[in-house]
Amino acid sequence: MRIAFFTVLSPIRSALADCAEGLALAMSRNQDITIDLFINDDYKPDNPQILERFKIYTYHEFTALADRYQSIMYWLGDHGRYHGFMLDFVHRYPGVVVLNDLTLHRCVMDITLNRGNTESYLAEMRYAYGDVNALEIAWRIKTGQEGDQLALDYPLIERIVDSSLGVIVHSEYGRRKILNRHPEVPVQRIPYPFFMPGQSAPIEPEKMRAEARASFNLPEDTFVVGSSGIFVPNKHLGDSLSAFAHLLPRHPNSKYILSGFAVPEYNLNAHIEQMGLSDYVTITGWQPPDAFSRQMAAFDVGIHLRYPHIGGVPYTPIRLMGLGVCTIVSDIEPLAELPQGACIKIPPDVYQRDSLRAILEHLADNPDFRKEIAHNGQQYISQNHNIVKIAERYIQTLSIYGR
Amino acid sequence: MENELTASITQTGKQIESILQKVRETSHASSPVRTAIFRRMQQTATINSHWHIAWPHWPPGIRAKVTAASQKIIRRLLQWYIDPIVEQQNQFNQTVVNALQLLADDLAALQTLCQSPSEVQQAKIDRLQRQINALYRQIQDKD
Repeated sequence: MRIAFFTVLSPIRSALADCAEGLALAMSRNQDITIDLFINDDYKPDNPQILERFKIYTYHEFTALADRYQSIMYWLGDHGRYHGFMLDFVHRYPGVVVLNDLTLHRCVMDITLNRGNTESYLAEMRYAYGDVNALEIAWRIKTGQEGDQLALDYPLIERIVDSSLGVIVHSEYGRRKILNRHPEVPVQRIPYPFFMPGQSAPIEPEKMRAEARASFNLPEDTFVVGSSGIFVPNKHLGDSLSAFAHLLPRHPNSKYILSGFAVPEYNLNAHIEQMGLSDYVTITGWQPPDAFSRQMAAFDVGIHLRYPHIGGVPYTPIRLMGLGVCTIVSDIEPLAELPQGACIKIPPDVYQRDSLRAILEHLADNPDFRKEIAHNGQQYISQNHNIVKIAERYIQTLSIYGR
Repeated sequence: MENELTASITQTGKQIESILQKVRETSHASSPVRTAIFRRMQQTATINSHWHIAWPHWPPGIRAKVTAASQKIIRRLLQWYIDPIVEQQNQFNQTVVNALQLLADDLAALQTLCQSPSEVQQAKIDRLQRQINALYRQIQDKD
């Protein structure tokens, strides 16, 4: 079977690029399939493994090549620049869509309204929701007034789902949401696969931990808390840092590693300075996927909060847990499958800050408890997010719902 | 092995829930109203120097279109002056929001401290209580 995979690739700074590359490589190990990648035309992919293994085309070339593919997969997310180019093809060349976010509203806005094409945007809104005040909704999403919730309430995935031959999501929550509006569409829940970029050999967490800590010059007895990714306000770093600050009188050797970077409009550095944590917090900035992933192994506790959300399953907790890092996440619907006890799920409510403090203190004071959760998480990921099994599920789904 | 994992997850899950439950019972967390106020404050702290003119489409009529076009030009010409002011205001707003949050945290901590004695104070109280009990027994024995 020959598969056309519309995707994003490195050097695009997105967890979806990282994940898509790992998945594509795993799927390509099946001898019975060939995968070609189709990407946007505004960057050059730079991952040597990907460049070596796949033929990569820009999306312009697809029309001439379309007939050679038995199946098409669209790796979609709510970002116009990264995924917008796929939307036209979803309708013209139906395939299986992977909804990494449960809303594509901003993506659709980017390629219609924000490019002066008001009529297309209004047509999409009418198709999906009938007679609503579309421009008022667009304005409120654009200016951030309850933007995420509104984007979830009006996801603008309706025509995309209707055009598709099948849908893949990563949570039962996502599957139910799609089926509520589209009961006739085949929807599969396939979890994200755990893998480490640039590594095919089995992972040795202890060795990776030692190496990662050495790279930060961290003694073994330092209690390290970490958060990874692109830092935006709805990751609640204020609460995480406050919980960390609360620890310091009793654990003065602790460190907080922020592995990633903040978006320009979020002045994280000033916040850290204001809290008097400059000597304890390191912000690494953007790292390529393999270095970024390896750094996570240095953490004793990884914190990944996210609220509000747009329905997607965050990938970072999967990787943290797979690396044997005790992980704290928000107790949100997309993460309902992760059991309490394999990670620590904190409700995003009025008690969030106090809960984080209590939990972090308990983890710092009780290394055995922390290690047990880390072990549980690693075992859970090994059983439920195995990349070989997940790659096979993708191939199966594509062969069933192919063209 | 799967059973062992499930048992371990269940066990640690219960411990986690117990910690979270205790937080709910003892926390001086903000009331929902106060939390909503903080969230709204956070959402509105950042001001935008770019107000849309003639978006998503131009207003009807030539006069309105000319006015909108003039406004766009003036906005572009004044950007160098307005943007730094907006940035200063945003920095101040964010600093105030952060300071208010820190004050709220300190207040919550003080409330907790006032409600229950510290460990050191409790140890003193316990020691004094034991001394009182011992003295009371001595008095009783003498009687």
